[in-house]
Amino acid sequence: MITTSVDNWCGVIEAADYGPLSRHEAPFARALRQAVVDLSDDDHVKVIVLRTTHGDFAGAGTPPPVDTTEVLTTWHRDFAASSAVYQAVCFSKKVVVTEVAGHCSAAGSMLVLCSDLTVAAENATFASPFTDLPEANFVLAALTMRLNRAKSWLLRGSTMPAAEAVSVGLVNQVVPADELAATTRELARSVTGMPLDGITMSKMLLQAVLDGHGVGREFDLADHYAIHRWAGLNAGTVQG
Amino acid sequence: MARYGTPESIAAASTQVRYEVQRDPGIAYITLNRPEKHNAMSVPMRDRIIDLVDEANIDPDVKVIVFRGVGKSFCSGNEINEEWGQRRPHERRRTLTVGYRYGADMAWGRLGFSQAISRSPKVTIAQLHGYCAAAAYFMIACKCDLVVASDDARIGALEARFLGPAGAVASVHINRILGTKAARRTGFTAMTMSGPEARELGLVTRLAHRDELAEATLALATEIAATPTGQLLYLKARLRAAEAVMDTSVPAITGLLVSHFLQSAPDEMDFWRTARQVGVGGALDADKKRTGAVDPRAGTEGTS
Repeated sequence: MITTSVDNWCGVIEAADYGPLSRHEAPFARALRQAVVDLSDDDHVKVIVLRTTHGDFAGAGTPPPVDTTEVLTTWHRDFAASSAVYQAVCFSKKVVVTEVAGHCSAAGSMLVLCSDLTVAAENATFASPFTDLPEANFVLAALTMRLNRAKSWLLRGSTMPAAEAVSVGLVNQVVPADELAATTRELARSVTGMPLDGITMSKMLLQAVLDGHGVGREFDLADHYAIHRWAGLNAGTVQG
Repeated sequence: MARYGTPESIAAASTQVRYEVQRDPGIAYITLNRPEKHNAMSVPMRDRIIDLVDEANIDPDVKVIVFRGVGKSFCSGNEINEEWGQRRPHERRRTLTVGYRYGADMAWGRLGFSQAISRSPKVTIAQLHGYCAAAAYFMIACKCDLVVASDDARIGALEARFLGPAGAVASVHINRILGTKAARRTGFTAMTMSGPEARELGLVTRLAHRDELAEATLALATEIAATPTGQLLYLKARLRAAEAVMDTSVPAITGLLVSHFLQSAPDEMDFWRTARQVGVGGALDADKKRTGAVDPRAGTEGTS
């Protein structure tokens, strides 16, 4: 499902695609979270690259509605908790790079928002994470793209092509698909040239800044968004 | 809630702010209709906007609220030379005490009209052409969820020329929308942004030629209104919550209030004297010629 490797200070996480997160597949979320935490804890890793081995970074998918009790317990543990997958990426002690080819469904865009740096292929597209994923973090989007652009993405539920993503600041670089891996390698090499402690201390500082802006508080609201999002669907289930 | 204004200005508000609803696809239009004043908003006009947003909020057919203006400009901001029920009219802007109601309305009160816009559960769109200045900029355009602008729009904190820059500089909201350097530029220089520049900076969602502006707004509003009602209300609810944690919905612009009502420099007092004599437009022209505010601590005050 997920493989990891470490070479020359660079940890690489590979999956066929990250689409299972968009469908709220808990085992996949737990495995990805564990891979990120393990590489973050590895003293021989300065940068973590999230990469896919097949076509899309995160294939399309919609999560099924979740019952309120589950939202507050198991769903919370796997997708909303401070120790769950997205906060493990967002608050990693190492620099996280997303390497995006093809389509990013909702969860793919969330991984991009949670990562520090992103390289995208020209065929990459970025769907709004906010329509389907209660755990999506709007504050991260507003900080990354500026407030009104993030609002437009949320309200229109739109999908951004790579060229637009780079112009609004969602990704750092857009390159032809056959140059993607080499570009990511070069970017990672630039990061690994820095001292390990310097990287970790910078990430600690960055996390305080993110929380100062409300990123953590927005993550904490995920349960409330989830209950609201699925309230009508749960009511329908009960009535049915 | 007390209603401020003269009988004439209160009576005029119902035609100066028009309201219409297109039930299909579900768009409410709030149209500023005071073209002879570039749609400057009086206190009764702002009170009417609050009422109309409330009406749209509870109308189940309305999914999107569009703000637009008739005439040469979208809106030049708040009417700044009006009688609106002050206890001592000749002191209309000289002290915080006199300005309390006015300040509560526009800068930090929960009942103010900009709060009605920013906290609406419906999606809000500002349609900008010509001037979008002062309160129209930071209390309508910046508070709306989406902005459609014509390429000849001139958007900015023009009031900073004579009232002080604090509103545009210190607003958390504007800093989040434009970035901090651009926010400071709009406040400290009072230079306007063109439509394309505002799009580049992130304020404007969609740009259109002047004669295609209404069509572009309708297309965006129709696109939004096609979203199922429950989903749209959910998205707006989570947007409001996220803005709460980012503090962008906070109405406090204390510096704005202070800069508007404390005018200690003599040549700034000249602005109001000139405005009384030749109107605000003439005072703005005269203001361009002055060499700069005199520091009252230098002992040169006392000319007013």
